[in-house]
Amino acid sequence: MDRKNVTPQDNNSYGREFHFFEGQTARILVEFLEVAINCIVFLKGFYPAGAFERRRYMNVVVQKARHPQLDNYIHSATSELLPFIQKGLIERVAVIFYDKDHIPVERFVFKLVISQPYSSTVEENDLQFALRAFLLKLTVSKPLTKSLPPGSSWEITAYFRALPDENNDTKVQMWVPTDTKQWLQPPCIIPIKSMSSEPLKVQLYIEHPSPTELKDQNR
Amino acid sequence: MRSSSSSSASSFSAKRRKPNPKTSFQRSSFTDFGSYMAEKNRKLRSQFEEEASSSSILNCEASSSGKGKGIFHGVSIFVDGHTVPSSQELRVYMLRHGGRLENYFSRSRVSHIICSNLPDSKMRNFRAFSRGLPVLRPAWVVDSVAANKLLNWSPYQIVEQSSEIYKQTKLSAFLRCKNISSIKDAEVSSDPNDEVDPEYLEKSEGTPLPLESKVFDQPIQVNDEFGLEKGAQFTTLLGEGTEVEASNATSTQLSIHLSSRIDDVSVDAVSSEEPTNPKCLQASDVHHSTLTDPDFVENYFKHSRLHFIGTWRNRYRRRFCNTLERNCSKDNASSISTNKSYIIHIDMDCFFVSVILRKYPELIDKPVAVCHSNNSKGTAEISSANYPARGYGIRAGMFVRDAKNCCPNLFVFPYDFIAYEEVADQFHSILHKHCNNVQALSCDEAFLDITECDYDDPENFASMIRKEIVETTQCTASAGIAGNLLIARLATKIAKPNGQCFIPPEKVEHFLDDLPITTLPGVGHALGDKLEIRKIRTCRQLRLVPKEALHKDFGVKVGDMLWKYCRGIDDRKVEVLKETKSIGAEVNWGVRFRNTMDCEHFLDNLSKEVASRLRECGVVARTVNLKVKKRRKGAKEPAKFMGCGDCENLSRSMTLPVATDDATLIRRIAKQIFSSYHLDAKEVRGVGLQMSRLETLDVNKQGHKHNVIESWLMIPAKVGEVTFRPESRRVVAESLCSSEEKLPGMQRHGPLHENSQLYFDRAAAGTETLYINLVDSRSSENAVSKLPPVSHLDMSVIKDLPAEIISEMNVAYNGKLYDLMKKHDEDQKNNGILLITPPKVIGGKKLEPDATNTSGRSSCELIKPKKAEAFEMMLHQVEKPEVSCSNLNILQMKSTTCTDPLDWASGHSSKAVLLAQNISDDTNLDKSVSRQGVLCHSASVAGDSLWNIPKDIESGVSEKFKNNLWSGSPPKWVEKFEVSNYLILNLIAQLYTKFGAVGLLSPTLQSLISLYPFILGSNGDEPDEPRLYLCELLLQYINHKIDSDIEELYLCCRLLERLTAISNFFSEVYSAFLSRLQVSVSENYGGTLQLTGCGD
Repeated sequence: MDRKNVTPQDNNSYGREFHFFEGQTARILVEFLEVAINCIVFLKGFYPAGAFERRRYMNVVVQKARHPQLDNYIHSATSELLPFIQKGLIERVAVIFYDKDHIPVERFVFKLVISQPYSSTVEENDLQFALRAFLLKLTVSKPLTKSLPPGSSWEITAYFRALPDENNDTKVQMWVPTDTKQWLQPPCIIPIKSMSSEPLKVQLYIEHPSPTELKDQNR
Repeated sequence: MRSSSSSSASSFSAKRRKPNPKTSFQRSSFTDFGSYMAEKNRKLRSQFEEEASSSSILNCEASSSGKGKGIFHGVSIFVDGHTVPSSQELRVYMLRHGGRLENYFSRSRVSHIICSNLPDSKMRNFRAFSRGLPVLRPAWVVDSVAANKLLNWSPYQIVEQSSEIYKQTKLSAFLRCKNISSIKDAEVSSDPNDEVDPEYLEKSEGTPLPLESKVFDQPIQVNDEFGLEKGAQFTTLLGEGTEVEASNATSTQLSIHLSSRIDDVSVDAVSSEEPTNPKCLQASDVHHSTLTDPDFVENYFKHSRLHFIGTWRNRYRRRFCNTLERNCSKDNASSISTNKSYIIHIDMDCFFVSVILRKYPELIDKPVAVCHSNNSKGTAEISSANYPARGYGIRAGMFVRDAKNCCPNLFVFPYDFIAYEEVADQFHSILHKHCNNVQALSCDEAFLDITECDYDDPENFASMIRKEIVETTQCTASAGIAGNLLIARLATKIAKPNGQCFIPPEKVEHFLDDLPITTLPGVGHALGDKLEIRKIRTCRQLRLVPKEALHKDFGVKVGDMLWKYCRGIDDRKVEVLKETKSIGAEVNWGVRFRNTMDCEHFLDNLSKEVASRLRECGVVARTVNLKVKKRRKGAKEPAKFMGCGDCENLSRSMTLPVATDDATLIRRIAKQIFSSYHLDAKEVRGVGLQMSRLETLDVNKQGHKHNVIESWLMIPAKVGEVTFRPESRRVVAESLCSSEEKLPGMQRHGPLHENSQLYFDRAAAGTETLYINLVDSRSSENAVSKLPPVSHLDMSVIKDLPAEIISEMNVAYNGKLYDLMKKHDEDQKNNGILLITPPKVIGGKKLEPDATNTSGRSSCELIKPKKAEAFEMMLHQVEKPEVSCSNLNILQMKSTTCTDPLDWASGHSSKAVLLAQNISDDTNLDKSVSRQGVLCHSASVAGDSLWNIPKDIESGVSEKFKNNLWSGSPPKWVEKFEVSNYLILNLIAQLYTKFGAVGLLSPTLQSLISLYPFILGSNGDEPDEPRLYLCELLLQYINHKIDSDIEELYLCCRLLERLTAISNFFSEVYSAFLSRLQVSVSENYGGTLQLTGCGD
């Protein structure tokens, strides 16, 4: 465990990781993920509303966790993703809500498709504009979600295309392999928002266990 | 003593709440005491003036030699109590010598108070009584008359009376008190004054202070000793439980702030000199807060340094207008021939101080500061300090108190705006004399672009200018010379004081290397701190940061700025005049309100101020922005007296349709915005009113005519004038044109006038119906004057009208209407058959290649002009209910030989649009609906005919469909669908071209939903081909979108589902689509889309 401890500030330091997936776009994406996850957690009402404060991001009113630990968890989880996103390793990022038996109840999935190599044609503004639509849609998506059972929990999970090489990469440390329980039946998908610009395609959808799955559980 | 004074203080504050008679000045009827007093005052003044004009004529030649205005010109006295000579005698003096006498005290009109003695209570609350005005003995008037000139009043001040006198007259003073109390009732108390009763001094120090007039005349004699004594006075007053505050820019007067917070008062005996310029004393108006001074806003700006700097620009503009304009034109021509440009940045050395020090040369080496106020508490902020003072660590923005701690023998002076103006003008005239390209940054600072000037060496040139400045203004200036604005400005910083610095381009990099980042213009505390966190302190370090990183962290604009500045790049030009973007006024000092009334009064004044500034600049503005500083919750009273302290800033703006400089309008908007904040008036600490989106006045006047509501009202008036029919035609034709413009495919064709000729007939009929239908006064007049022929009425519309209106119309048509409606019902049935029959006729015709190609498209096009005539005829026939169905049938058969049936359809639908518009009353929303109605209607007729297409034509098309339909932009299928023979496909293609700009199908489907009932609503039996095409299209769409946009697919799925509910044409399409979609989703996403029925 002699890996370098990665702090969020390091990711903001200049002149690093510019070569692969253009730093700017990746950074915006990571930033967006952080905000969106904050919004999802708020949307689910997992914590009392007082635990969040209104902020403005990309000119949209969003909610941000006030509790330092919560904020830090989301922030570190997303910002640690940056190097992987830059390498194009991340396929999906999911915010999973579990019931008390740690069985997923609802999953918010961000599906990322980063086409590479690509020429940096996307305008930062266009990207922001597109991502903004996600946040706007998220704020009105409450009716699509299910209410959480008591004793629930949540976590951020990322699906990698390939397992990062731990020997070479010093930044894996924060992300640990997980064996989250999966549903037996294919889930029901409710799309929330999709965006397809050239270097980056993002889709956000909710997954619920299929009705048959629920019956199985009840039995 | 202490208790009594504080009790009287509270009694004053109670009296304040009484209405001030001045406020109701304009009202003439005596509704209350205030208006009565106002009227009385006015009358007394006019009487006085009458007398004065008669008496001064008599005296004019005799008394004043040369000056015709009289010695007391501009003097207005108020006589308080018993005097010797009596007030009547004084009045006569005033009459004769151009002065005035006020019967009732008024702060704004009275300039001097004359009285012989003062009662004890008034002495104690001297400032409240005098309201800052000089209180003089009558001897001043008498002596002045005797000397035949206005004497300095200082020696006659009432404070100089020995204390015994007034102690002895205590009883008499008490008796006279009644007279004065009436005045005090009407007045707001809490007042400033520059005289301090010597009694207090006696009490505190035991020695009376000889206040000589000399002291006032010669400010140079003001020394520390005197300052100390004054300080002691203040201290005493503080001991009395009243807060003393030097009030304004001239700062020669003190105020007693009655909302006294005794605990807060710091009683440190800070020494302070009184800068005492008699001129200032006379001119000074006292303002303390919005509470006490009705003319606060006016006075505030009179004494604000920032305001001086702000308005100076306008002055500059006016003064140097000619030279500036000349240069502007010249500038454009010559800017091309730039060889090596040099910029000089020239800045006066501590301008605000050195101008003052011209009068006091002996103080040049002493620490001197300029400050708007010099009070004992030292809570005023220093605005400028000279270099000796800066040596002590005194900086602008420091409290006087702190400054005095750094440097006990600091001299503090008030502003002298007149001198500033003079010097600034001199300064700029020198610059303009030597150089044509001058950008004035401020009153004491400018950039010169000396590229075109005659000079041998930029340094010599600069020193020549500086020398001239020193000779003319007696103030020194420093100059920085460099290749661009940035470096020139930085060079000046090095050059100061009284020096110059030349940085040639080759030395720029070296110069910047170790320059702290915070010295760069635009890098303030906030930005500096951010950089500090990143351990960037010098330009050298900043240069290592890539541009992208700067953009990321600071935004594009600031990032760019940093990137350029740390490399010494600055591509700004010396601009002669920068256009004013906004004009406004902001007051953040002394703002205290008791209630909303105060606020509104304040906004009144502020609006007037802003309006006058707008007028001054000759512009009008459209956007009103109101900024309000609100005391932050829990914030304490600020350290700076009457300052704004810790505040939340609120800002809102409102844009007017027409630019304005009208004070009442601005005030109304400002009040509106203010009330939208829902603030407690007591919490307000600052108000700023700013006008932006400026327009120059003359340009605006032209625009006026187009904008104003009157121009809109003109149109209906015209309609009434001319005969109804052509006018209504025009109106309807216009509305049609506008709706056509928005219709896809419809605008492509035909000279409009020919088409519209056809419309006119329909339009006339339609509008007439409309005008009857709508209870519109002006149009119903027309309708009554000329009823449309009964045959012109559209039965389908009439049928839907309320029964009352139908019966009313029936009466108007002498009962023909009911018959007509009956007939129409029968026709309808026949028409229904008619509409279905044509396909056979057309089916044969379809084989003609020409018609086949155009038919689909023309369903949405306007009628082609050549066919218009035939149509008109036909439509005339159609609309006549008398025409039997067989008749119509024949007619139509005929028409097919010369024209396309679809044209008939669209012609028919044009009628529909009119009627639809009639119903919808022309609101935009309904229009669009009715427009869609047109489309469908025409489509439906054509569609019926088009489903039956010989197989041989279509088989060729379907093969091409196998290819990738979604490649290309617009996608391949659009073209194919457009040329296909199936109306539904044509329609989809057209809708897609209209809505599918982003490459999404869902908007097309959505619009299809609203149209569909018209197309296939009643048809049960459709051919398979279009269905197959559509399926193919949708399935390919799934493949096209599945990995990037399931949201869109989901939406399409939902829309198709809705379409199935309307027609079973889509049910097959939908089921095929759905099954494929679910398969694709589960392949790609490992789940199924949740649709209704699937979830719960």
